[in-house]
Amino acid sequence: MEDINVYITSDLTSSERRISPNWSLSTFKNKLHQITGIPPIDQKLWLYKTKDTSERSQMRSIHDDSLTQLYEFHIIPYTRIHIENTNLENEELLGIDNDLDNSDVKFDISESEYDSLPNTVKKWKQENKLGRFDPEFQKKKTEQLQNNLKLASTLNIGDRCKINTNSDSDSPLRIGTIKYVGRIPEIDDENVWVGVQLDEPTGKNNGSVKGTQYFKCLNNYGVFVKPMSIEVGEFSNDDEGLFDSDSDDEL
Amino acid sequence: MREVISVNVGQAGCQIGNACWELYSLEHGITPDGYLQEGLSRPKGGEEGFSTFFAETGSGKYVPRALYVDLEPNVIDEVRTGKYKDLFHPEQLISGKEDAANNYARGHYTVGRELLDDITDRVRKMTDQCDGLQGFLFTHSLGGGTGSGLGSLLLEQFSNDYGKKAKLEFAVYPAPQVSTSVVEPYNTVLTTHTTLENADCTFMVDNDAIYEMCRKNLNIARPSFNNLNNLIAQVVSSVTASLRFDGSLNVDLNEFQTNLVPYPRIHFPLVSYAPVVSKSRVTHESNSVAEITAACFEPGNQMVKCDPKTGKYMATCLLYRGDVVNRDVQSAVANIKSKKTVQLVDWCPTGFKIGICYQKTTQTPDSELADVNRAVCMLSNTTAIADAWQKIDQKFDLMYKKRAFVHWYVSEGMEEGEFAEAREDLAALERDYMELGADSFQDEEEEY
Repeated sequence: MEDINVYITSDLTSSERRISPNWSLSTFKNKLHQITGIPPIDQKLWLYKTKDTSERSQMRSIHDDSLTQLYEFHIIPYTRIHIENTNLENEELLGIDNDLDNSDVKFDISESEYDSLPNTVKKWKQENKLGRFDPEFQKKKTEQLQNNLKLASTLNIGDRCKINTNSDSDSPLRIGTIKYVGRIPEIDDENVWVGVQLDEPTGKNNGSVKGTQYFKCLNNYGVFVKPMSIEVGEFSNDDEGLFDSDSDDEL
Repeated sequence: MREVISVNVGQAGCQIGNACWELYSLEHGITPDGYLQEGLSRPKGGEEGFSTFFAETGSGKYVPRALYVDLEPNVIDEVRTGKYKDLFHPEQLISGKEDAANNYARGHYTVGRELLDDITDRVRKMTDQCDGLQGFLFTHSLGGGTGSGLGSLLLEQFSNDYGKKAKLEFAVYPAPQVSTSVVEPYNTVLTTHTTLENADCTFMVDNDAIYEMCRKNLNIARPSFNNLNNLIAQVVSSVTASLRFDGSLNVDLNEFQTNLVPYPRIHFPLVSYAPVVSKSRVTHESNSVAEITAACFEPGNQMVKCDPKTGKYMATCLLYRGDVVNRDVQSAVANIKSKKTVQLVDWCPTGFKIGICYQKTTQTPDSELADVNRAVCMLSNTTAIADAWQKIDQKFDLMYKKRAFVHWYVSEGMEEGEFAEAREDLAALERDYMELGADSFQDEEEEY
């Protein structure tokens, strides 16, 4: 008899599988162990009758799993067989369905371990003087830092301004008022940052960075950017005429 | 001649292989038993490209340069008895008796190794018939036992036997949300570690992403493997079209690596394809070069779920097919480059490489994809693809912390140390990707 394609699901897995109607139920259960991790003795098999029903029946043998063959269950192609784990204390399965986002078990290697490896992108960059290992890069970086410092000195608290980051054609114009100019050790220790209270809630915070309050505003009205992203001017929200004519407008 | 040998390993690999060879045959005008379709005096698209993928026997019959390998017999038995049974030589189809039970160690060490001599003999016979072998194109899954274990064993073996010949992979990558088997993260991490030094370029395909494309774009309520594989085959066909058809702009297997891989470990370009549109919807779409190019930058057209807006591009290849003129391509690319959401790694040369193949795509009779006059496949090396490793690494860690199911591998002769070694390598890979994303001047635009 030809193989049948069915969907095999369990709490942890879901897959399309080919099964042979000639397999015994015990052979099938052994294979399900490898797929779902649930040992045969703890498996309860539910066969769904058709593709689009929640009606299901239990697959079990009357006497002996090894004497019962799958064709006896009249499995229809592309229906689902769900494997229930009846032993919730199963050691191996316990805890591996943890919410990944909240898990702190993630393994990592340290910076020095990474540095000791023979073939890494970092070694390649160092050897070929790429990125920050390029003397030109450092020069440019320093220039930019100086430039930002110079720009910062021209900014005053209370100035109206426009923010020119993410200035993609489809992102909205963001304008607001400068509330802070200075260092923010919570971000880095080399740059000068500008805190802006926006007119619309298109920012990232309430004027604080990692717990330190630099100015006060409502949630999502506050944002911190580098001086080069700031353009000072008499911007106001309802003045259409001040929309920049060179902001891409193809869309 | 510049021959390319396809190697399909495991159930997923063989089934994708089936879909690909059906499509290749149609595209070149070859009947299911290996002869030219009536009325043709030579294969479609020119003989030179064609001969990279098909060999001619004396009697006017053509045979795919392909090898099918699986540890259990059923999938390959279907090839032996199916519609395309006469297309292949029996020696190209190798199957064992016992499956890998979703276990990398069985595919790599015990059951798989027993087939190794047989496989290398057959491959040797095929390579002996080549004038100028370019390399190998693998299709396999990373999550199953045969695809991961035997697939990586063959890649290692071919590195030994064929030195610097290019080895490219199409790899079915586990979907981030649901695993197909409980040990899938182990298999994926182990095989990725083993192949990291042996594969030159790996194109990953995540079943979940393809599944959604089938549902949303092709209106297939419950996509089956057949639907998924048809779509994957269309993508594989677009990538290989430039090798198979004369007069195309991109012509060498090595060029994928040259154009896309700045550093050997970073060889996992993200694949996007457009248009994915059903037969019923096609009349409503204008399908211009600009549109299909822009669509490649939409997450819904990606073969792996990740967010390129959070990453940086190192290199991009756009492979067009059909009625496409260079001028339209140039303006579409210029438009893309002007977008701030497309960030490039600015300390390393990044280019847009363009390929145009004037043969348009073909659809198999049971495909839901509409026949379109032009299509594009984008291969982009973006740091965003590192998302894919993070999830699987985390799943690996949850299990490995408790050594869950590790005994299944140890009982097949694998040493436990290989788990830790593989995981460290993947941690280094994650750091490699972070390092690539660093040092950009666009970081100036950061905000907090």
